[in-house]
Amino acid sequence: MVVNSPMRSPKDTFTLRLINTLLFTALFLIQYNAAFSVKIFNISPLLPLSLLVAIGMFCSELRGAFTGLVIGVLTDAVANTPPGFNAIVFCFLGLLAVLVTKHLFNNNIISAITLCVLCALLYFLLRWIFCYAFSLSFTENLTYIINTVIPSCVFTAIFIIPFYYLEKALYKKFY
Amino acid sequence: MRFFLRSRQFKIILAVLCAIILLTASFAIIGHRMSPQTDIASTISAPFRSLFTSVSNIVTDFFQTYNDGSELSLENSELRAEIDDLRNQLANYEEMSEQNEFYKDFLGIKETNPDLTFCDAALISRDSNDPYGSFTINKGSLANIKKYDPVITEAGIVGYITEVGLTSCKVTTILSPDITLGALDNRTHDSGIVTGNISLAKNGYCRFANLARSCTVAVGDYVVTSGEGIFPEGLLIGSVNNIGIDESNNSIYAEIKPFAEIDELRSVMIVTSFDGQGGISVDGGK
Repeated sequence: MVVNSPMRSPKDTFTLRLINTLLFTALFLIQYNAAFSVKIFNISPLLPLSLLVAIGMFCSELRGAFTGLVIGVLTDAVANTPPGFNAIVFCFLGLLAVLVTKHLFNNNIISAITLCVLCALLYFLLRWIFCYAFSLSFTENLTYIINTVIPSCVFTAIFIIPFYYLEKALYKKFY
Repeated sequence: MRFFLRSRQFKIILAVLCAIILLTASFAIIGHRMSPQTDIASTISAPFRSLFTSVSNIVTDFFQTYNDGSELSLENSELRAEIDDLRNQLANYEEMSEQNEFYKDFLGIKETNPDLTFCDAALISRDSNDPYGSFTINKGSLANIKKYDPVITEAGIVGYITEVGLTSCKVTTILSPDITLGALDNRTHDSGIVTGNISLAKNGYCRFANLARSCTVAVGDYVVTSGEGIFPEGLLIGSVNNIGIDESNNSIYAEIKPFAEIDELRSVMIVTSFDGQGGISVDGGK
């Protein structure tokens, strides 16, 4: 189910975008604050990515890419990655989420979880290649992928469950 | 899918991505600073991040105090037992006193290093997905902070500035392999380099590497900067926790526990200038 019906009213659209902006802001602050981190066994999820994928399952290509771009630019300001890395990758992942949902997957919770795992895997693998792969030995690389990349993807995918249902409800109400 | 690739939407997305790549590349490579879009995002979001971190710190402190209260009675009985142990340890007072004197000398960094100019800053965000604990602080080029400026605390070295924006900048910690700084064992004057390692970073340690086979480094020794590279001389780094042999080049290495608690940091000091700064580029050391 991809919702592409005409918007109800500019007010509804504004409300939907405002709610999503506030959600992203809250998740960004939780993810990157200096006081505490959402970690289990030293594994941290990527909360904004879960929400991006959830939104990408209901919006258009341009909006998915633009949402990803905004989150990416914000993430670039705080993440220890090459300049512009997050802007490009998040923009691509936002677009990918929309395209995969429209052309490949059904729009249901199983697809959402699968898509989130795939997007997280892509993000963490790209980050590993650009940031860590060449400064680590073979064993360290393998350990990093097994102990950090894969658990982070799974942890990130858990958060798409509430976000998926929330976005589904929001788009049903405001679109 | 084919229709989308030919659509106007796709062309817009592609154009925006190309613009970002060009802007970022030109600013990062030529200007050695944050790209404009990141700088704007950072400047706008910095007050929110700062506020959220301050509130989170207050909440964390409140719950910490609450937890401490319930644990006080338990601690009280444990402390009584510890008093007995401490009485026995009085015999080692002389040795401890010497160590204290040494440490106090370094606590007054400013007094012992009058050439250092500091700028204090607070942490506003931390990258929890970075295994090396990098973070962002609330001062940038407006406060005269430059790339490669050393970042320290009263306890010891933390890292250096890697990306500078107008009102914030990113700090790479000494747990990262990107950092390579000349260091000395304060007791034996054995020299080597301190660098990070992903497996050690997990436990908050870094590596004092390339020590000669004839070195006499021992567990508990203090490691200080040698002044080679981007860090001023004589700053505390950490204490030796473990010693081993590097099989790749047969040299000795030591695991160091940094004195600065990188996971617990709330504020830091940036050394904006010191005698001999800029003598050696950090890239040359890599």
